Amino acid sequence: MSQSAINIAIVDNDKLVVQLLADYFSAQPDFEVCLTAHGGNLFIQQLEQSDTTIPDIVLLDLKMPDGDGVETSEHLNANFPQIKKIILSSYYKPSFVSYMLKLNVAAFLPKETDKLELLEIIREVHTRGHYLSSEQMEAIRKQLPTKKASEFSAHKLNRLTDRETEVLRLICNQFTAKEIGKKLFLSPKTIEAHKGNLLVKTGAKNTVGLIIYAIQNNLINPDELLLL
Amino acid sequence: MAIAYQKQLLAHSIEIQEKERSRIAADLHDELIGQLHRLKLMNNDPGLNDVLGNSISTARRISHDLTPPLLNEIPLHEMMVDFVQPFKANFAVDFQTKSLSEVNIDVASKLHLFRIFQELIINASKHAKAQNMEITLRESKQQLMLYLKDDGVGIPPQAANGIGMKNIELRALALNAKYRLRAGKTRGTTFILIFNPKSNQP
Repeated sequence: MSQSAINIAIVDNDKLVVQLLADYFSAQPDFEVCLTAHGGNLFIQQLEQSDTTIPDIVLLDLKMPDGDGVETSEHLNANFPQIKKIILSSYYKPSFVSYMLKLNVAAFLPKETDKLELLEIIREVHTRGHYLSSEQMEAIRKQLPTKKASEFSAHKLNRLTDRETEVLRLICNQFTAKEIGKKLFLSPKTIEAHKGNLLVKTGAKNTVGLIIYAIQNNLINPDELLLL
Repeated sequence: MAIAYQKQLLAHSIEIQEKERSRIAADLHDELIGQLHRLKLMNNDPGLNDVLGNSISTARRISHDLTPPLLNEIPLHEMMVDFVQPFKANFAVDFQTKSLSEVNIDVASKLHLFRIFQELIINASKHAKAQNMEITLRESKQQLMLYLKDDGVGIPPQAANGIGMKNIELRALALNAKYRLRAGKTRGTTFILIFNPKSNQP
């Protein structure tokens, strides 16, 4: 391969880890370690010096006392969008990948990822721009809503009671609480309570909303409504 | 008065317990996993590599069981969706979330809300034998609403006075939140909690 080497930066507050990773990458023909730092802020300071080589890819730890991975990523997004970020963290969970994607991270890996595998992933990020494990794909798939967000009203366990439906029909016919109370042998207060529950259950904001709900759910036939 | 004070004390003890848990969890992450990771990087024996990898996974699992990781970063609804995932084998879950605006909940409150949620899900799966579960999390600047409803057999008497229910009560108290829990043999369990994220700011 006559391709130029991949320039890598390593940012981790564990000095030994930085050293071990740097040695390992330097021994690979297609890798060049151009920057190392023990905190996000130090890394950004180094980047901002005019004579530094801007890395293609940065391996970023998440929890660092001096500039954590999230802050650093945000800074890179704003100022060095060309650098691809691989988060290597012991705070790893496959389901966090969607949060990481929103942070514009190219790959999110558990800290103990095998050295050999890490090389492959870095190469993939370099050529394709990102890497997702099948475990992470599965996690994202599970997070997607299974059906269209049905508003509160559509909750099937939240069905209206018979009494509530009855009150709703009467409201649609423009009866007042007092009149409905008389019809059903209940006090106006009780009717108001039913109406309150109807508002909560349907998610409607006012009586008009209740009527729309009743029509949409075929509780009443709009053609039969009285127009006084 | 005396009872209110006692409850405050208990709520306080829960916070101390949480702090202790997160300290141990952080130590596991930063110390133990860190050391194992260094060993793994130095090691070139593939057999040993797997053993080290497994040790790290175990340490991580223990740590995450103690305290949910990245509590500050991961939004509450994602933590909840994630938690409920394995329970989908037991009952169908309809999870609706709605964020009307960017809400900032402090980490301590977030953890209380998450623990209450865990308690309710575990109850539904362990005691109530629910088939269906509906969950709504609605967040706005002034108000957070958590609503859960299942079609199980409610909460049996021995659990109704148990640590779990006490836990919910004390955490709601620490949150300064209002909640209602209604459980019945035939109508399932309904839980609703209203929390004002602003009221709890120090």
